[in-house]
Amino acid sequence: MRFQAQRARLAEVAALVGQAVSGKSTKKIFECLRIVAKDQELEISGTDLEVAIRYRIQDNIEVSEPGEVVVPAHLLANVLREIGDETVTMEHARQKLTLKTDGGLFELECEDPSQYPDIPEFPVAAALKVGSNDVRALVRKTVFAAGREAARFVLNGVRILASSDSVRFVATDGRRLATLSRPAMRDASVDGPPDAEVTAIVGVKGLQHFDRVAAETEGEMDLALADRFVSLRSAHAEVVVRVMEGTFPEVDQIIPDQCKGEAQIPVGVLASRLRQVRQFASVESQAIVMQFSSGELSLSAAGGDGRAEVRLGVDYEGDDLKIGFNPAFLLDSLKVVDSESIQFGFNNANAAARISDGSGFLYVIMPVLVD
Amino acid sequence: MKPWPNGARAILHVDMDAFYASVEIREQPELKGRPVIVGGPKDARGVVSAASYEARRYGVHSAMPLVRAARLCPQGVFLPVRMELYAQVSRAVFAIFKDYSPLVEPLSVDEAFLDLTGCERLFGGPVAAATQLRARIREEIQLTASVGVAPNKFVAKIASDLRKPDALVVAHPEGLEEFLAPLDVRRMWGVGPKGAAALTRMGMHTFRDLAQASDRALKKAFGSNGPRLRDLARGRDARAVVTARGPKSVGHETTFSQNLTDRAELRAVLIALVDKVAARLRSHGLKGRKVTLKARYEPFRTVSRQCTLAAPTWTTRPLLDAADALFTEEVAKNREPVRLLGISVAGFSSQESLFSAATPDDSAVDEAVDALRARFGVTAVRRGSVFNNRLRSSRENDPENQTDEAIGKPKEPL
Repeated sequence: MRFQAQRARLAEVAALVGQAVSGKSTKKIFECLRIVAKDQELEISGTDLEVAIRYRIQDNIEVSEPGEVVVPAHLLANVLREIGDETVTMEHARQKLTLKTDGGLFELECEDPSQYPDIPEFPVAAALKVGSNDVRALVRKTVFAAGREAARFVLNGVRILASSDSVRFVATDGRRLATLSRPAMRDASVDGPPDAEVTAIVGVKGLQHFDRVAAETEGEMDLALADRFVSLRSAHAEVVVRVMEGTFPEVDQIIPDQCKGEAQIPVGVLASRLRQVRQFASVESQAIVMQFSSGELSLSAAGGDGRAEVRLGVDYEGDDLKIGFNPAFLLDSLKVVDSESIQFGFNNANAAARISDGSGFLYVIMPVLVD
Repeated sequence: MKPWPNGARAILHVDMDAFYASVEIREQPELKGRPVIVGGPKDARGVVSAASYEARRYGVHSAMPLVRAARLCPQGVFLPVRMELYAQVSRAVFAIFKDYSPLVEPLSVDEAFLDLTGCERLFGGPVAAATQLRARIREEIQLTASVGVAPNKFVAKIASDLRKPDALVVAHPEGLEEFLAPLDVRRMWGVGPKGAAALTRMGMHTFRDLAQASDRALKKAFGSNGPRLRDLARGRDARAVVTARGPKSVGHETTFSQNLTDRAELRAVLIALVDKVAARLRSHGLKGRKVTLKARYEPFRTVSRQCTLAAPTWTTRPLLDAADALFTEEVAKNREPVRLLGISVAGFSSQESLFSAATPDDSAVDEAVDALRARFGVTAVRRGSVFNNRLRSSRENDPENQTDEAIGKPKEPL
């Protein structure tokens, strides 16, 4: 194998793919990425068996001898970053990958490519078209609510539901839940099954790679939910994420559809007031108290070190209500809404409250019981 | 007596004298002057919960095995623990505390800190308030309390203990170091017999020695805690009086009069324990997610197994499932005789959960059972497994006849 490529792009791709490869593994081959050089194209892929990333480079490539090679991912990415050359030549011979630069020579030990894990091909038949901005919103507005060390393992993942015209992400750690729905379109060129809804649970790490790939893509992307994998594809890149086994709780029955009280609250003011008051929340309860009255919302907290109360004007008419929340959970949702104000709906002090921003984003948060 | 300086903190530590024993003597005046030991019959396997001052003269003290107490004081009057009675008296005592300050930090049923800072006008100063408070406890409850008055919690606690029983000791803010200086280092928090021996070897016998000790010497003896100890020895302690601190765990355990080997019998005991703990969680309004099983085998080998539930709960069913799983994993797989079994729930959270660990049916059963028991007593409704077992097992092995302290208060570093 022998090719010449533009160094900057190669370095960028090696770093992106390298993020899917584990830094420390019992087997050396799992710390490696794979480069396949074929007819004027390089395919660089890496995996930790949970997430796989595959990039194609077609511009500014000269393949003089096709072939494939498996090399340590982080070593390659670091070398490519540090050498300042415009172009780089790579050659594979006798279990070594040689990098030649203007006045430099680097030799990397290679592993046996036939031992490298297979990365599933993109399942074209199952694909939906989704805008790259929509992919980013789906990830950004839900993953933060996923569990981190949830006792129910599936809650550490995000549930994806896809129908012929929409994609929905749902994440919950059992105390709050975030969900967003975005339009999608079945690829007209593909004969797929009718409009059945398909669903899969995937880990947060894979979705963060979705976000990275979507960030450097303009326009539409392909998303496919297959039996064991969920794949996202752009013109140059592909992320494949292994599906988590298990049953995700049915969430639609816990999202309150009726709210006794609804308030319109400005996001910026609420966030800054929450940050002021949260310092005073007691270590044990970690709670702040929201008290709604006509046209006004008061936020208060009290603990061993003192107490605080702040007020803000809100659009609210209705009965007075006092309800406690973990301020971190409230702030998490305010960080991801795009609108100037949120709709805050509630029923009583121990039932779920609902935050929406008018864009299809819905956040459900359970209160903290306060006296 | 010098007036309390304006603006200085004023903390009272109130400690009832030999509380359980004194309550028993109040209830049975003929016991007055006799060595009363509360904990159970002298041949029982439990420990002493409280000893009257007469009994203490024989070397009997709380937490000592009853058998040993009986050897030291064979003429002692051994009484069972009547927790409900003491709790009732305790409530009356705390009601008096509340008349003196809204800032009351309970340490146990018979001991509390009161913050009387800024109350000079109300009661004529903290010392006058303490005098009044002691008089009211004597008249209204017919018990005695020892009170320490000081500018902080640490010194107040030391002061109340200094001339027990029935004493008022004042550590005035001016002259605090002089008050502490001559005290024996063994009164220092965190200094046990070993620490005291280490200090003695270093030539430190009193608080004065400790207050003047070098960083190096203190670090050597007490590690990173050393400088804190010196601050305390100089009477510096800024901790606030914290009201209504909730319990850290709710649990129940039972020591068997005879070791149990039959796993089915033990499992029935476990079920009764869980039932009781769950009911107590509900009555305190606490939901927990950490379940701990404790088992003590012969001779005194204690193991505990813990698991974490998906969501905090006070419902019997999921707690029972968790306890049973722990039991299966620990006790059921061996054949060793068991002398103690306990279950406790911690990890309380008032954060409500989207997905409850219990079904609505489970909660409804608990509600119904709680209501029946509130009306007709705890034995009105029982689980079948417990009832069947009761026909075979001795009464002493029934946890409902046990009266162990059930709520674990966090240990105060004093």
